[in-house]
Amino acid sequence: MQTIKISLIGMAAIAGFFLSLIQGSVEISSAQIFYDLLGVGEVTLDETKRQILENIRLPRTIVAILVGVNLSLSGAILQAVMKNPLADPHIIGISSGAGLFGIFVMMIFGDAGALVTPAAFVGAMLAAALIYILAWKDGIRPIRVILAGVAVSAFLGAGISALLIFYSDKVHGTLLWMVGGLSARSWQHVELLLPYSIFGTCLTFLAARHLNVLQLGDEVAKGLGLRVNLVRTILTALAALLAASAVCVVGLLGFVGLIVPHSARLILGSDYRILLPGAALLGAAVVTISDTFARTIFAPTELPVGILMAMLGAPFFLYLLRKEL
Amino acid sequence: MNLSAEKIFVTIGGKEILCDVNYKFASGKRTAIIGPNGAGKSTLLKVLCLLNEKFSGVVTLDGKDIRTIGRKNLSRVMAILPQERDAPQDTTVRQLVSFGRFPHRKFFGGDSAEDSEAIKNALELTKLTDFENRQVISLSGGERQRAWLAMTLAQRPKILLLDEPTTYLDIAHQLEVMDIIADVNKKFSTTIIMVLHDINHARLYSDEVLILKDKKIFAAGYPTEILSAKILSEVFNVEADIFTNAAGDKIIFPIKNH
Repeated sequence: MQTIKISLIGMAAIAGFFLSLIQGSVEISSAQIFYDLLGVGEVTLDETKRQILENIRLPRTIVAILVGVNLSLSGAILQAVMKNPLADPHIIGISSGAGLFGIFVMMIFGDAGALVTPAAFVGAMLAAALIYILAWKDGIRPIRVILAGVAVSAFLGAGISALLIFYSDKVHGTLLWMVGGLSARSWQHVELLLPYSIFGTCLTFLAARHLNVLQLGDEVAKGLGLRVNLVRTILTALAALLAASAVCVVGLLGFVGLIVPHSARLILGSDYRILLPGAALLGAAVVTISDTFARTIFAPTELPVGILMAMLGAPFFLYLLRKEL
Repeated sequence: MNLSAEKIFVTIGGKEILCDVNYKFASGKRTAIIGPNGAGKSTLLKVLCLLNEKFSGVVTLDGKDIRTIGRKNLSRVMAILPQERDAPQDTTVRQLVSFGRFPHRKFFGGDSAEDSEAIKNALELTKLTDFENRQVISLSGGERQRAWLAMTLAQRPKILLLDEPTTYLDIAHQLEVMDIIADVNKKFSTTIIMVLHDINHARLYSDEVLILKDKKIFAAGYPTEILSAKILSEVFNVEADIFTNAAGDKIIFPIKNH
C-alpha cells in the first residue's frame, strides 16, 4: 500500500518534470523532449527550440525540483525538532535569516559567489538559535516556537527590505527575492544548489529513525538513549542548510515546507522512514507543477511561483492552526 | 545490576528538591518510592536515569558513574516510562513497541532476529498481541499504558523505572499493570524502581519501600514492616486503619486528615 502511494507521488514528480519542459510560450512536444534529452525517436528540433529546452526550461525545472526537495525536507525536519506542526523555514524566519545574510554577501561580492550559500547558512542558523532562545523555557512549547518565529521573521524581514531598498541597484530581481520565484534560473543556479541538495538529502534520510524517536517527546527519546539536545542541534543545522541553499537561488519562497510535509504525512503517515522520501518527491512535484502553472496562466506575464504558493499556503496554514494547535 | 545513589542534591530554579539522598537499590527486586506531593519522588527517578542531569552527587551502576556510561549505553540496560510522552496519531501498537529497540540498533540496517523476538515477547507480556496493528490513540487508557510499557520491555532492560504507572487508570487496569510489572520482575529478575501513589500497591507489589519526605529519605525497608499507621500519620498526616483482608494481606485504609 505504502509502495503504491509512494510510486504515485513519484509519478506526479515525473509528470511535473515533463509538464514544466513542455509548457511555455513556445510549445515543445514530449516526443521532441525525449528525442533531444534521451536520443529516443526521430523527431528533429530546430535550434531555437533546442536552446529554449536545454538552456532555459531544463535548468529551471531542475532548480524547481531541488528547491522543492530542500524546502520540503527542511520543513519535515523542523516540524519534528521544534515539535510544531506549523514550523516551516519561511514562517518561523529561518529563510529570512538566510536571505538577510545572503543578500548582504551578494552586495559585497556580486550575485552568485560561492560564499553566498555559506553566509546564508550562518544567517539561517542564527535565526534558528534566536527562535530557540526566545521559545525555550523548561523545554520547547509549540505555541511559543511559532510566536517567536513570527517575531524573528518580521525582524529579519525588515532588515531584508531595508537592504533591498537602499541597494536595489546591486541585487538583481528584488521582487523575486521577496516573493520567491524561478524566473531566469539557469545552469549556474543548478550548480550552486545541487551539492547542498545531495548532501542534505542523504543526511536527512539517515536521520529518519532519530526523527521518529524525537516525535515521542524529549523524555521518552532520552530514555531510548537519544542525545536529544545534540541531535536537535544537528538536525536544526541540517534544516537550516537545506532552506538556506534554496533561499540563495529562489529567494523567500514560502509555504512549500509547510504544505508538502503535511500532505505527505496525510498520505503516508508519520513514519519518517517513508515520510521523508515521500515529502521529497511530493516537493519536487508541487514546485514544478506550481511553477509551470504560475508562468503560463497569465502568459505572456509570468507570475512568480511564490505568489501561487502563498495563495495556497496561507489557507493551509489557517487550516492547520485550527486542527493542530 | 546494582544501582546506587550517593549524596544526591537537586536544586531546580533556586528551590531545593532533593537534599542528601543516599540509597542502594536492591538488585532484581521491586522498590516502590512513595511520599507526599513535592517530596521529590519523580525528581529522584529522573536523576537515576539521567533524565535530570543537573544534580550533584553520583549515581553508580555496578560501581560505574552513569554519567560516564552515557545515555546511549545506559539505555541498553535501563528503561524508563516517563509521564510526559507523545506519539503521532497514526502510530500503531507495533510501531510504538518497536521504538524500544532503538538503543540496540546499529546506525545502518533493519530489524534483527533479536529485535523481532523482543518485540513479540513485549507484546505477549502486556497481552497486546491481538492489538498490534491498532492505533495507539484508539486504545483505552489501560491498553495505552500497556502499549507504552511494552515499548520499555522491548528494550529488554535489566532495570526498569516507572513514574506513577497507574495514574489515571481505573482499578481493574491499575491491577493489570501492576501484575504485568510483577510478572516481568519474576520472569527476568528485572530490577523495578517505581514511583507509586497508592500505598496499598506499594504494600502488595513491592519488595522494598523508600519513603521520601521533605527532600530526604524518611524511611526505607520491607513494606510489611515499614508501612505502619504511625509512619502514615508522620509522612502523610493521615490517620489510617490497618486490617487483614480475606487473602491475608494487610490493607491500609486512610480514614481522616489530622
